[in-house]
Amino acid sequence: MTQVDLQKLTKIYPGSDSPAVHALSLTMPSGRITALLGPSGCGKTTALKMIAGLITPSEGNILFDGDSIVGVPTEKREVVMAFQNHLLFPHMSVSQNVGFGLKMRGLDRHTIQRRVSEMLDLVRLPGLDDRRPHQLSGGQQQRVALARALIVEPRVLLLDEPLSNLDAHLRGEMRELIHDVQQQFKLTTIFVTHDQEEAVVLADQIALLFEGQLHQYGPPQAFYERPLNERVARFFGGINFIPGYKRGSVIETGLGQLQCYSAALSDGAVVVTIRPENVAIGRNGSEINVAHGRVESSTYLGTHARFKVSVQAGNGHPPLVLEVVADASSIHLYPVGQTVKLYLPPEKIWLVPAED
Amino acid sequence: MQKVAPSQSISIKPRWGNSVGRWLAVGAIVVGLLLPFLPLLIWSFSHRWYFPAVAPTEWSLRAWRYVFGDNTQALQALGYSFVIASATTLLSIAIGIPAGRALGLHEFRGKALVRFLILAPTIVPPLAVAMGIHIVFIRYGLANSLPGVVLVHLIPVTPYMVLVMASVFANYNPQYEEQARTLGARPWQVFWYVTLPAIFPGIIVGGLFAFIISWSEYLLTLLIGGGQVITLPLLLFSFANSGDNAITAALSIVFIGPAVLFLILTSRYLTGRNAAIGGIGRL
Ligand SMILES: Nc1ncnc2c1ncn2[C@@H]1O[C@H](COP(=O)(O)OP(=O)(O)OP(=O)(O)O)[C@@H](O)[C@H]1O
Ligand SMILES: [Mg+2]
Repeated sequence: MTQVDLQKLTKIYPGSDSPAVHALSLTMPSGRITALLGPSGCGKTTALKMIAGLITPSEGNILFDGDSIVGVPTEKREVVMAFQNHLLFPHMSVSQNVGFGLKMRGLDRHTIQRRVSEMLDLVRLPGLDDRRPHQLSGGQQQRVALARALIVEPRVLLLDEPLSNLDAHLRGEMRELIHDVQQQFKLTTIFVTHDQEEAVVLADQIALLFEGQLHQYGPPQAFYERPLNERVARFFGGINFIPGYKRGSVIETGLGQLQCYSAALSDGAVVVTIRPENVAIGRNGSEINVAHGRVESSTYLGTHARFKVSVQAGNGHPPLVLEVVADASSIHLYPVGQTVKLYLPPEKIWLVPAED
Repeated sequence: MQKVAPSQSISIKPRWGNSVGRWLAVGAIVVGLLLPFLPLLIWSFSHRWYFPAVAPTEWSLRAWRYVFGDNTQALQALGYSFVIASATTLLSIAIGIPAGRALGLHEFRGKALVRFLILAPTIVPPLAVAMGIHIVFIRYGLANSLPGVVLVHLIPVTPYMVLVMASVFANYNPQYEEQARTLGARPWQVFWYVTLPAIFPGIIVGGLFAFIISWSEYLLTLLIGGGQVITLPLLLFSFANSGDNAITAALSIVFIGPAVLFLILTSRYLTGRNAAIGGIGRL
C-alpha cells in the first residue's frame, strides 16, 4: 500500500524544446488503479518511466508515502513496470521469466519454483512452465509478463498499455484479470492507455494528458458529466458544442435561450455542451430548451441509432448540427429529411470555457 | 537479441530441416578448407618425393617427430600462438562490447569520425603503423615481449570485433535491460542474465574472427616480437624458407588445425538464425 505523489514532474528530453511531461502534479491513492490517459505521444510512457526510475526527471519530485524516491535507483524502488511490448526474455523459459525477480533477490530455487507455479495458477496459465516466450500466444505472453511483475510484490505496479497488443476478446479477459489481481493484492497500480473506454472500465481515477500537460484528474464519471474543457469533452466522445453567452442560468445561443443548472462558470462567453445520448429526439411536452431541426443523416448501430440534425439558428448565427444518439428502433421514426423536435434537458447541459 | 520470433512455425516444425542445412553448410566449409590440405598431409609424411612421382617414394615420421618432440620450438610456438590469440581475443571482446554498444545503439556527435577511426587500421598498411608503435613500445619496455605482441595484434583485430558487436547492438533492444532493472536486477545482474545471453552469438562470431586474425598474424609479430616471441606463423615461415617441405607441411597442419576446430565448434553460431544476430547475415 503506497501512495504516489507527483509534484511538478517535468521531463525535457535533450535536444527537444517542448517538455514531454510538463509540471505534472498528481496524488495517486494507495491501493487504487489510476489511469494515465491521453493520445499517442502525450508523455504517458515518459511519466511512467520517471516513476520507475528509468528516466531522470528534469524537474519536480516523486514521493512514495511522502518520501522522495528521485535519488533511488530503479532496482531499489520496488516498482515494477510491465512494458508496452511485454518484453519476455527470449532466452528464458516461462518459469524462468516469472521467477526472474526472485532470483535477482537471491531466493532459493525451491521457494522460487513454488511461487512461480502459484503465480502461473493465478494468471491462469498452469503447466506452461517450460515453454519459451515465442511459443506462447499474445495473450499468454501478456499474462506471463503480468505474473513476472506481480511475483516480486512491488509497492507500485506500472502497466504500459497492457491491453494494446490484444484482440478485443483477449482484451476483456486481461482487463478482468488485472482488475481481479489488483483487488486481491490491493496494489497501487498506474496504467497507461490511449483508450478512454479502457480507462473508464478499469480505473478508479483517470488523469488525462495532452502534450505532457494534465487537463483533468478525477473519477471516470467526471469526464462524461463535468469535463473541464472542450478538448476533454471531445476526447470522451463529446461532439455537440454550441457557442453562447451566459447570463445567470440562461445562455443565449444560436438555438435560442437555453436553461442550464451548471454554475461552474461565471457570466460571459461560454460553450454549451451536451452528450449525444442526452439529447431527446421527438419528445413532446417540454416548453424550454427545445430546438427544431432537419435529420441530415442517420446511422444504425445495432443497439443504438445515431442522427445528425441541422438546426436553423436565429440571429444571424450559422446553422448548427447536433448529433443525437437514440434508441435503435427510432431509426424508422425519423427518416432523413424529416423535421424533428430536439429537447436538451437543463440538467444534462454542461458548460465549458469559450476558447478563442 | 531476437525481438519477437519472426514466425512461430519455426519452433513447431521438427528441427531437422534446419539442422540438415546447417550440417551441409558446415560440411561444405570443412571440405572446402580441408581438401587443399591433403597434399600437405602427404608431404608431412614424405621422406623422398621428387617431381615425376605421384606419391612420395619414401615415407617417414621425421616431420611429426620434430613437431611433437622434446626441446623443439614447435610446441613452444604453438603455446605462444595460443596464449597470444586467446589474450588478444579476450581483450578485443572487452573493447568490442562497450564500443560496439556505443556505435550500434546510440547516436552521438562525431559518430562518423569514430567509425572511420575504428575502420582505419583495416585500410592503412599495418607496417606503417607498426613502425611508429615499435618506437613507443621500446620506450615502455613492451617491445620484444609477449604483452607487446598482444597489444599490437589488437590493431588488426579490434576493427572486426567492434564492427561485429556494433551490428549485434544495432539489432538489440535495450528495453530488456530496463525491464530487468525494474524487476530488481542490479547492474551486474542485468549484464550477466540479460545482456550477455543476448549478445553471446555475436561474441562468438567476433571472437572467432579475432582469434583467427591473431593466430595467423605474421608481420606484426615479427616486428614487435623482435625474434623473441616466436609464434607458429614465424616458425612456419622460417621452415618454408629453409626448404624443408615435410616439416613445413606438418607445421602447416598444426597451424590450420585449431582454426578449423574453432570453426566447427562455433558453427552453430555461424549458420541459421543466430548468424543474423552475429552480424554476418544468414549463411
Ligand atoms: N528518448 C527520447 N528522446 C527524445 N524524445 C522522446 C524520447 N522518448 C519520447 N520522446 C518524445 O516525448 C514525447 C512523449 O513520448 P512518450 O513515449 O512518453 O509518449 P506516449 O504517451 O507513451 O505515446 P504512445 O501512446 O505512442 O506510447 C513524444 O513526443 C516523443 O516523441
Ligand atoms: Mg508509450
